[in-house]
Amino acid sequence: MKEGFRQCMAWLHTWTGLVVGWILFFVFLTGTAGYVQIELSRWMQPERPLQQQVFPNSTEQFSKAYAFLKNDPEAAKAERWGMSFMSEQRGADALTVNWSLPAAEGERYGKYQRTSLNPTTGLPTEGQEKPRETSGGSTLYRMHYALHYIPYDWAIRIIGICTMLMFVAMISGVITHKKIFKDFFTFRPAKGQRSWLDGHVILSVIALPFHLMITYSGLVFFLNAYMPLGVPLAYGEGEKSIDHFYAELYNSPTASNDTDNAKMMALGDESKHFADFMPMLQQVQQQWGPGQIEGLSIYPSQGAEPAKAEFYKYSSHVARSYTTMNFNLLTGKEIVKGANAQDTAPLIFGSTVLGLHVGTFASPLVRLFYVITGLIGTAMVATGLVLWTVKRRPKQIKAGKMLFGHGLVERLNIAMVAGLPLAIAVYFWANRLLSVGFEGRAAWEVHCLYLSLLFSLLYALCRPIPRAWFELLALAAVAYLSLPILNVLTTDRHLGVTLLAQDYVLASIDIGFFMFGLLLAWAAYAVWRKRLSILKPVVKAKRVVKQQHAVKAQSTTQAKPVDPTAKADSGSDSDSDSAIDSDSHLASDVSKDHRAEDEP
Amino acid sequence: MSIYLINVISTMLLLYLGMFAINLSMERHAKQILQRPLSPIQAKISYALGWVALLLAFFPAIAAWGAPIGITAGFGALTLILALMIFIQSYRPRLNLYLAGVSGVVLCGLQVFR
Repeated sequence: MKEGFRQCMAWLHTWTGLVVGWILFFVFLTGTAGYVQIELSRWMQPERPLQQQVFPNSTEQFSKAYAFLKNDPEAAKAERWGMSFMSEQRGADALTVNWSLPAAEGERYGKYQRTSLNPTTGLPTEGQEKPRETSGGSTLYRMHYALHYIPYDWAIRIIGICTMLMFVAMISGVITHKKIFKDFFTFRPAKGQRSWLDGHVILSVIALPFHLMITYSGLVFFLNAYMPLGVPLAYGEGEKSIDHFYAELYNSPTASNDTDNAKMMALGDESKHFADFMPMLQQVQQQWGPGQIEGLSIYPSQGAEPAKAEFYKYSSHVARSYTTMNFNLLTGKEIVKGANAQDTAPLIFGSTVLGLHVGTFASPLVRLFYVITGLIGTAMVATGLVLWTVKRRPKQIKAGKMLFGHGLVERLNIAMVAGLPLAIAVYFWANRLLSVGFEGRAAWEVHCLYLSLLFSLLYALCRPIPRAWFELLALAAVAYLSLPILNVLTTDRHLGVTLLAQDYVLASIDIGFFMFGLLLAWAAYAVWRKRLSILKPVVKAKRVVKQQHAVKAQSTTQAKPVDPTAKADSGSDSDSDSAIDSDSHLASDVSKDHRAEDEP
Repeated sequence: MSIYLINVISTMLLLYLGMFAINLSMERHAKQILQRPLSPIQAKISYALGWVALLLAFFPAIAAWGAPIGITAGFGALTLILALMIFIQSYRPRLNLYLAGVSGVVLCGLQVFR
C-alpha cells in the first residue's frame, strides 16, 4: 500500500484491474457479441430464410398454430401452450409454438417443447429444410455470464466476483484520475507509456456512463445468487418461502391461495370448452394496433382460477417487462387487472436496470451504439492490461531479466487480448466448415473456440513477445477479413445476396466481421511497426525523480532502432537482455525529446 | 426528411458542437486548433456554451426515441462522437474547427425542415 488517498486508489485500481482483467476482457467481448446474438444466430444458420417483407396476419397465424397445438398428441397433455408470431420485428422470423408438460414426479419443472410451423400450411417445418445445428450467438452471449464447461452456479459466482472487482476498479479509477475533464480530450500518440495511459483514460471516460451502467446492472442480474441470505432472512428458509418471495415480488395471484395441489386439466381436453378466440384477437389488435402481438400463452383452469390466455405486446420501452392482456378463456372476457396489480417499485427499477443491460429495446441504430460502446469497454480492459506491462517493462529490462510474474502477465495478455478474438473467429469458421450432418457439431463449434484459445496460450508461451503479439493479431485479422469470403464460398447467404435482397441486418454481420478484421489488422500493423523497439531499453531515470508521472516510454518513434540486427524476436527473455545493451545509447536522447514535449 | 432523422442528426451535431466548445476551452487544445489560446473569459464562455449544447442535445434525442431510450441513446451517441473528436484532435486538430463550422451550419439548416 502507498501513502495518501489517491495513491491508495491508484494501487487498488492497478491490482484489482490486473487480477480480473483477463476474465473481464472475455466477458466484455463475448457480451458485446451478445448484443447481436439473434443476428449472429441467423448468420450461423444460412438455411433460414432472408428477412421477409410480407407476413400472414396474426389471425391467420394464430389459427394455424392453434390447430397444430390442438391436434398434436403430446401438446394435448401440456399445462401451458405458447406461440410466437412471425413479423418484421427483431428475431421474429418464424412462427413457433411451444408447450410445457406437467412436471414429473419429484421434478420442479416439466419438459418444454418448441417447434416452428410453416405459416401458410401450418405444418412443422422440421424435416423439410431444417437449419443446421449450431451453438449460435446465444452461446457466446451465455458465456459472458455462465462461462463454459464449468457448473452454472460456480460460473455466475466467479463472474460476480469479477464484476464486483470491476466496479471497484472503475470507482477507484475515477478517483485516481483527478483531471477527468481536462485529460480526456488528450491523446498523445507515439509516446509509449504516456500514449497507453491516454488511450486507457479516453476509452474509460468517453463511455463511462455505459461502463457504470453495465457493471452495476450486471451485479443486479444475479442479486439473489450474490446475496443468498437476504431472502431467507426475510421470508424464511425452504423452497416454499422463496416461492412466496417471488410471488410477492411479481404480484402474482398464486401468492395467497394454495393452488399447488389443485387439479389441473390437460389443455387438450379443456380446449374443447374454450370460447372463440377471434373476438379476443380483435380486441387486442384494436388496443395495441396491428402487428403488435408478439405471441400468447394459454393456461388451463387450476383450482378456482379459470383457464386464461395471456397476450404479449412487443416491448417498446427500456424496462425488461411485458405488456400483457389477459382473457378468461371460458367466457372470452378480458380479465381487467386490479389497481393493486401494478408492478412493485423495486421490480420496475430492477427490470429497467436489466433492460438497459440487455438492450433488447434498441433499434438498429441504438444497437450499433451498444455494440461500439461494448467494444470500447473491451478495448478499455485491453489497454489497461497492456498498460500494466508497459509501465513495468523498463524495470524488467533494466534488471536484465524478466521476472516470472511479469512474463506471465505479458503472455496471458497476448493469449487473451489477441487470442480471444481469434478464437471467436474460429468459432464462426467452424460453423461454416464442419459438415452439416456432423453429429454434435454445435458442441464442436464451442470446442473449436476453446481449443483456439488454448492454442493462443501455448503460442504466447512459446514465442517471443513482440512476435506472438503480431502473429496472433495478424492471424485473427486474416480470419475475420476472410469470413465474408468464406461465406461466399460455402453458403448462398453472402453479401451479394443479402444486400440485393435488402436484408441489411444479415448483411451487417458480414460487414461487421470485415470492420473488426480491419481493426485487428491495424493493431497488428502497429505492433509490427514497433516490433524492434518493444523490448528495448528506455528513457533514463533522471526524469522519474523529477516528475512523478514521467514518461518511462520504452518505445517511441524517436527511439528508432538504429541496430536492425538486434533481434527482438529470436528468443524471449535472453533476447531482451541483448536488446538492452545494443540500444542503451539511445536512451538519453529520447529523454530529452520527451522533456520538451511532455508538458501536460 | 422524416422528423425522426432530423432529431437524430440534430442530437449528434449538438453533442459534437458541445464537446467541441468544451474542448476549445482547454488551453492546450485551443492552441492546436486556433494556433493561439483563448482568453480566460473566452474559455469560460466556450465551456459554458459547450455544456448548454450538451444539455440541449438531449431534447431532440428524447423527441426521437422517447425519454427513457432517448437518454440512453444520447449517452451512446456522446461516446461515439467523443471517440471521433478525440481521434481528429490527436491527428488533425485543425479539422475539428472546420467540422464544427459545418456542423453548426447543417444544424441550423436542418431545423428549417421540421
